[in-house]
Amino acid sequence: MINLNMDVRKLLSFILLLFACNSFAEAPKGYPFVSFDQGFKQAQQSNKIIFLYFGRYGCGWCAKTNAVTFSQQKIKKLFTQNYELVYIDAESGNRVTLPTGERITELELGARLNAFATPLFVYMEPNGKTIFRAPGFKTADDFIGFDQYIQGKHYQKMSIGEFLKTQ
Amino acid sequence: MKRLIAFLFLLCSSIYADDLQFSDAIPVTLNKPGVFHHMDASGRKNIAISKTHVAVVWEDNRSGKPQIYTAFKPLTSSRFTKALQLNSSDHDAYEPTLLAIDKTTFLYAWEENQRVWLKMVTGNKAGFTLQLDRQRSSQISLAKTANGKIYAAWIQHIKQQSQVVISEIKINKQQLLFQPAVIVDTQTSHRRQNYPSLVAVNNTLVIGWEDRQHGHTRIYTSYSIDGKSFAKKQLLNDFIPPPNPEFGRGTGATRVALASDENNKVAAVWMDKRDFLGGYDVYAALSTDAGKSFGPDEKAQDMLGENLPQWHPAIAMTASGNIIVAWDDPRDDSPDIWYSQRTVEGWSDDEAVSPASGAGAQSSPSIAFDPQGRLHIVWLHQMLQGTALRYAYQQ
Repeated sequence: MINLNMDVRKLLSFILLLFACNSFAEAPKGYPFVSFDQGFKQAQQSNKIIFLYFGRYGCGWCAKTNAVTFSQQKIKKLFTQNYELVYIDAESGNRVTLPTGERITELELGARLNAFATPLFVYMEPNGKTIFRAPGFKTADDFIGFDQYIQGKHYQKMSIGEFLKTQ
Repeated sequence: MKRLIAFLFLLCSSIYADDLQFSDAIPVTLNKPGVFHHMDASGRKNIAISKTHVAVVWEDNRSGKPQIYTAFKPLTSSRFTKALQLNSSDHDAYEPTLLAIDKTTFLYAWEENQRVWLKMVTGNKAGFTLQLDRQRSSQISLAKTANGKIYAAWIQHIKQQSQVVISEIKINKQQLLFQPAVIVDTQTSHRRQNYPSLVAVNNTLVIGWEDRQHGHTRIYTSYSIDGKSFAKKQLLNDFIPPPNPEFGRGTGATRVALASDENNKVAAVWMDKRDFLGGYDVYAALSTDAGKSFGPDEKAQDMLGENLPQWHPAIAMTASGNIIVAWDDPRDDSPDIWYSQRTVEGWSDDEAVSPASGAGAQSSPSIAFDPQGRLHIVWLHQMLQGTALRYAYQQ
């Protein structure tokens, strides 16, 4: 019995470790997230809205959003079809080129956006103009609502808060 | 309501230190539309002071590409020299830093074409440029010991690893030479390290860096008495486990900067996201045994900055051990430069650096004390179509 308990404990630890190894909170797996520069380049050609996922390495809420929300097939389809996907590592020294031509690090981009929490999701026009920012954990329904706001171009007439009240 | 509570709390718990009186802002560079300046050295050392001169180093794109420039002035002068370009290739260059060698000689280091480089400048005469590493390398930091030995620490990227390495730099008749680089953390097999900050306290080297080995960013330190082998690394910041162990690996701590005095004191400052709703806060820790151990984490900022993120913390210490940290935050709507002094009772209330606050956005401070214990500060002034560098000194 004692041995069995120990084995079960070891097995559970192993499973937890496996899970933990996948919970560092990087870009969600299976999505075509690219660098900031590549995403802007692609948006110039496709004219799609840019979806910027601002995550921190090890961030719990990012990992939860990945596991709970981005794991859903309907969300994967929505983001893959409608957006140019950019992932920013909030503490990284990787460099990005802003639409002004200025080169800054990904951490510095967070300072410019005053990103106080991760995850931070930023919807941007292909020219880099911010449409709106959504900080914190988001459900599939949240993202579907945001998508309706973006695809219906309601952002040209009202804020995201005003739009969501009408739904 | 939160602000009111914070204000009332602050009234009851203020720690006072004499406010520093600063000169007016002195331009280091002028604004030109489309030109963007950056001061983001590893360890935030973009200003250095010798017995007689102050020098500033930065990167800007005036030539169309990010390149490295310096300007300097006698301590008694109110004007900086014209900018002197340090690198000479067409490749992008970033994250420069510098070190005072003697009265008019400064040693500069930067990343260019994904390698780290060194150059010595005496007066306005630039010496040869030396490539320090054939491997992909970046994020360099410099230090000089009391007995005159010079060291450089940087990040060397090999395959999927990034590791802190260190090398002794020798100056022989205006020629720069370097010893083979050694790995600082030899006890970790797969290193994911970034942004080292190197200081010397007397003849001991102390180094801090950020480390991703455990699935989130932590700050580690180590020390060496010979510059060749380093003590086992120690965790500097408090480890805050994630609220839900199923998700994430812990809070983030990033961009450590170190400063030292002449009496075995080393202080560290870094950005810490343990309060994940209010963004990064400025945390510090103090060693009184030349980096062998550090005391508990101390929150360097006051309550009025609590609900906002703080960015770009820099640190300086006088020879006799007075410590000051400076950073930027947008508590007055746009970014301004703030500072706090460490007193015997703890960290003082935050004060704005008067010439680096008010209209516009002021960010990215770098600070240093002169031999008389006066603080010198340089920062980035952001305008609508570009930036400029400005400087002030404590009067």
